[in-house]
Amino acid sequence: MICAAAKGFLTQSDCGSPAATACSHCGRPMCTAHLSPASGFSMCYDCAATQKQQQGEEGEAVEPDYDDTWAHGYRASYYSSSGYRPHGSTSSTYDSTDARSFDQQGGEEFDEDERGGGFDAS
Amino acid sequence: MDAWKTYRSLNPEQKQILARKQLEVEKPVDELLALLKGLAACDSVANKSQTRFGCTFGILIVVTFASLILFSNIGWGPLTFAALLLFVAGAVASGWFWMWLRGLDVSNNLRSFVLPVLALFREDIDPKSPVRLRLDLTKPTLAPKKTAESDAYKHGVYHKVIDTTYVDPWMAAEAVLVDGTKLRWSVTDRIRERKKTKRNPRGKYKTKTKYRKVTDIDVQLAMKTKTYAVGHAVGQVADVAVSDDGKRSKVDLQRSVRSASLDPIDPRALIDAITDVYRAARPAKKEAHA
Repeated sequence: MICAAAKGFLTQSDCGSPAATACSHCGRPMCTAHLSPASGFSMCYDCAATQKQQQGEEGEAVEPDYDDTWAHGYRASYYSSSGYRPHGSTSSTYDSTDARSFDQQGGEEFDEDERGGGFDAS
Repeated sequence: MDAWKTYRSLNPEQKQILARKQLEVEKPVDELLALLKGLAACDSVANKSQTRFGCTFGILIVVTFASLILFSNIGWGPLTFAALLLFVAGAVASGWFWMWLRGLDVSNNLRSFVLPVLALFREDIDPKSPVRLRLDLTKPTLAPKKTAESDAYKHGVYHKVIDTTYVDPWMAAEAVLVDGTKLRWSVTDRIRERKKTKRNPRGKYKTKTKYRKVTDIDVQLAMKTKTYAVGHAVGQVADVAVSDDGKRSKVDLQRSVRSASLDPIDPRALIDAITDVYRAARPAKKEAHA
């Protein structure tokens, strides 16, 4: 398995390193360099940034560490607010946020299936 | 004590930078970030401690004078003398720490501009090529940065107004990016300090100081013509000059940000300037097919 992280802000390229594990949140394969140390190397930087942002909205504002988690969070918010698409980006189809939203919906569908989901009605 | 511990954890190079508040280095981006993050951490802790020690110093000065008056009235004894000695020692110690922490204070541009920009571009910068960085983290209104001072003049209720201008070229950087582009940028603050003095109805003189700042951002990108077609679209970006030497297309652009305080500007101004060029540039192959 190859790491699914995208490297860079101005231009983007695939990481290409062998994946060490899957992100515990979005399930994408990640190499150790793209796993957040703050999450105990269980979460990718994109997911760690989203989680940190949510925690920041709930708690009081603190000065950021300007680490890779911050950079990935800034990158996502900059792309969405400015409409900037870096060269080499493959995100014109689906990005990690889109993939995550499919995962969440998928989870509910599986629950439906376990309860029958209408297939066992007859 | 946190500030003292953080300061002790710095390496000799970082301590030297804190003392001079200036640096001119050439290092790989990861090493540079590690160097600057240590300085920023120390500055952050020092700022918080500075306020605490400043307040303690002020309170102890008041307490010392109050106790001096009180003890003189109730009479001196070993206990009152020891208490006064304790207050004086506390005031001297907190005053010394306050002054020492003031010495550690560096420009907030480091934490609010330099670090975010380098952290964001970290993966774009070629890890094999060192980043050249020159930073001046001293106050922008120091005497050597003064360029002009007006004669005192009257304006409205203010009987004396003096305008002083300063120029502070506090950042210059140069890096090679992973796509082969050579990126240079510099940031210069032009500051106008206006000191206005008036006399209020009770006869007291009051002086207000106001600042206006224009931050000039100059960016130069030398993009490989093999990789990017820097054509008509880039030329359409505001304040851009494009030249071509066959191997590289050189794009120069200037941006200015106006603000009414000496606070650091949003790094987005620099980020936008660079992304505007990338946004307008096209991959060379696609341009050729089009």
